[in-house]
Amino acid sequence: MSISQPDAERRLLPRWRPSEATIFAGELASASTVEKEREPDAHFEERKLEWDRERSIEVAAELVASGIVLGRLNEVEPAVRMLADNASDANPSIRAVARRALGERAVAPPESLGLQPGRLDPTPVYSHISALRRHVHLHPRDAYAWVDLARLYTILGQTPSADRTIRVALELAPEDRFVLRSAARYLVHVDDPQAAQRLLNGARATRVDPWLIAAEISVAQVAKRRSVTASLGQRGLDHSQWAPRSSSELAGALGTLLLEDGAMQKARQLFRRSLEDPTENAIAQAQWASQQSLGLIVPAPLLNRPATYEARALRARLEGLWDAAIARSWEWTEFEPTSSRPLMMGSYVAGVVFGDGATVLEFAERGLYAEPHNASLLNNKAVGLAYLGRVSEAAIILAKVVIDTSPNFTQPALYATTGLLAFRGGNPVTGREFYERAASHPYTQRDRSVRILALWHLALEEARALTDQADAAVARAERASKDSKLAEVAALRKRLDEIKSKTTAQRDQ
Amino acid sequence: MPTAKDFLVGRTLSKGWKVTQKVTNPTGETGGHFSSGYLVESPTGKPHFLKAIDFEAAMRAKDPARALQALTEMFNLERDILNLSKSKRMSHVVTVIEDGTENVSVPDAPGGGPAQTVQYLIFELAHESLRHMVTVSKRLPMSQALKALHNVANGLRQLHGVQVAHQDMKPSNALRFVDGVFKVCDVGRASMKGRAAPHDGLSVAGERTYAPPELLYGQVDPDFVVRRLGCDAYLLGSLAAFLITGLPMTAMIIDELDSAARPTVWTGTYAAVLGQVRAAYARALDRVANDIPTEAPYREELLQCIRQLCDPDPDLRGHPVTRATLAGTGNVYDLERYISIFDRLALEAGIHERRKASR
Repeated sequence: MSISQPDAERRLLPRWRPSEATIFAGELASASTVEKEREPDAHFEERKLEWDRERSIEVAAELVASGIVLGRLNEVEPAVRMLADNASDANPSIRAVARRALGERAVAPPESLGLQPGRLDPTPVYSHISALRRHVHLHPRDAYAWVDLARLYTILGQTPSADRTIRVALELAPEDRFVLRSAARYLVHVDDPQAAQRLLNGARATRVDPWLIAAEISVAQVAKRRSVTASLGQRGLDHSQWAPRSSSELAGALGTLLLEDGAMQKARQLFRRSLEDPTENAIAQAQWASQQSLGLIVPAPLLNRPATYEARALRARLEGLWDAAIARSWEWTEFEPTSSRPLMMGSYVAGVVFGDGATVLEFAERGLYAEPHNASLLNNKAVGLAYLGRVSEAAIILAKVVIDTSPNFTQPALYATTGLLAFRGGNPVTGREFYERAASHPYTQRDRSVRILALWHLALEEARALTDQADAAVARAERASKDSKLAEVAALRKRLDEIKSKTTAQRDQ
Repeated sequence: MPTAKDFLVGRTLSKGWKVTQKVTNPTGETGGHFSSGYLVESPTGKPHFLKAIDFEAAMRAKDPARALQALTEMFNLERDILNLSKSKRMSHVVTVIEDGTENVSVPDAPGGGPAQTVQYLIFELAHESLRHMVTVSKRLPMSQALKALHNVANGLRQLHGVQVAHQDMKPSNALRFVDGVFKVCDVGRASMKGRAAPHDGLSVAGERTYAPPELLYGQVDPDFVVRRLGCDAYLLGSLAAFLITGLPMTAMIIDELDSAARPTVWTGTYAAVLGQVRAAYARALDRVANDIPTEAPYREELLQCIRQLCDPDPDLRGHPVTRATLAGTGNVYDLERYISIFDRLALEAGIHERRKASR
């Protein structure tokens, strides 16, 4: 194996989406199941009587304003229609309000940065940054705008600017769910999950908000620390304290925690609960969990819900629908441009299944824009370059990574890539040695597929280099993958056949 | 069922006032659901406004004893505040001329019934209210609007000076008199520091349509200054927004909020929703800005005033210099600086309008 395997470990970290898209997705609603009682309002009744007496635009405007504030617009529809009418004397502001009330509001679509697959064009991101900077200049206390700005800086990998802006947001709204979840996600992004956990545990809101408890459990997992709020979250779930939508990610986060502890049955129950009224993130988590021998199947209709790009990419990979996996990875990239995970998935599929160096490079370089020091992405970029024959450039990229200090799960891939570069540089002995290190890395005890992939990639390189150990390497890879359900194996066999026919053709010439 | 206050027209009150007409759309105020407005003439023939309180209506409430007590307390508080404002010669609070009672027999009361008592207050008669000066299609010239804001801010500050918070400062409660001066009226929902009022227990004392967002979400600060004077500061800013857009700030903010975060639905704390309210507030302010001509000389300063006065966080509301100066010692919502600003901006707007007209 050369390419880093994506999603060896998935945590249910909050998605970092623009504020409007997060609101639109219903992720900032009250968590409680309690419904508010409507209070009688004598002024409103008076205004309705006045409207019955005098159907003027002035009275209509007041009645509609009251209807908006009191949540009783449905009772004043004729007044709304009068104001919305083009022929009325209503000024444009009031007419716009009335049209919105009639449902003519162009529902703000989730922000699109107009990002295209392939190399990142930063121009549209910069133009969004300019607009937001103007906005925060006018409205310096709008914490959501500061978070949105930090997100754009993060997309461009401008960490110092992102850091400054996210701290402004936290100063302005230290108890706000959106701000806290976004800031926690940012801190994980910059490899400081401990700070993310401290932040969440320092907020009073985390004691009562299932969305924040879910985030705390997940960042604690990333930080490899004990969650402070997991038991609180479990109690809340036991008492059905929160609406299913609000507790969806909490159930998924607790399920992941139990899955890690090997409590499969309880984990399965929690994942099922997380799917009662799930967010797309909870659906993706359940899809990931379903691949962990949990006996969980995510119902197909859930995968057809809007914005489930990640879940669909994971499912496509599982089913060996490789073109779909790449397409979904690009969609997921646009959906969550601050994350390197879709880019790792895309580059993985392009590299392992297709040996397509150019596409691997596109995904990896896009990811390195936001995370220039990400070991997996640097590894994948080196692979892409090597596949394109740019071995010396690949070596420079790979030299940026110190394998021993890289995360444990990335090390087999880094060893394998070192082996790949040695093979492509004409040194099969060294290449073999590094592939062996990858195949025997302690991590392979935990994840058998890593060993299978390492051995298959060694076999491919042996075959490509026409060494006398090629047939033995292939046989060994076949033995290792016996009974494996890993969909990549079939694709790797296909690549091997292609290499063999190509080398045969070259020999014949 | 008609009550005594419905039979006042044509009657000459014991103090010599002649009731000439019932007002359905008064240029005074009705001030609640237990009162009616009338035009009256003084013994010298000068027109005035009379507000009659209907104690009889309280008897039809679910709990008549409590309703009567509340109405009595409310009336007494209103009368005392008005008499205080009169004695302090508050130039921008409507002046009460007289108060009294009248026994009126109700013709079709069952059995003829005994005469019922009507309690009343007589005020100087206003020319019109801001509510009727600003129509949806025709806005007030900004010089006039800024003068109104200056006068209203003055009226509120005069009340604040005697520890009274108005709490219901909406367009219909700003009256213009023949001399062009605007005055604050209807102190029926006011609170006086140190004195209990029947509406003290309500999170929103005035009309909800105009109320500051923290009160709609049920965040009630125990401190008189924050809860009640902070409310007045917001209402002044909201009035400014109304004069520009035709809509109160509260309606604009809530219109910009996602339906799940609106106060009628939200069940969490105010702190937890404040981020969303603030984002909605920013968009509402953009709407206000869109309705002010870009070339207007007062544009930025007026927007700044609205931004400060309507801040959804009462702890950040008001003029920053005033806040910094008076923090911990006095009324951080003191409107003095806004009175100066509105006065100056009204002059600038007047000059701008005259220049524009002469072109």
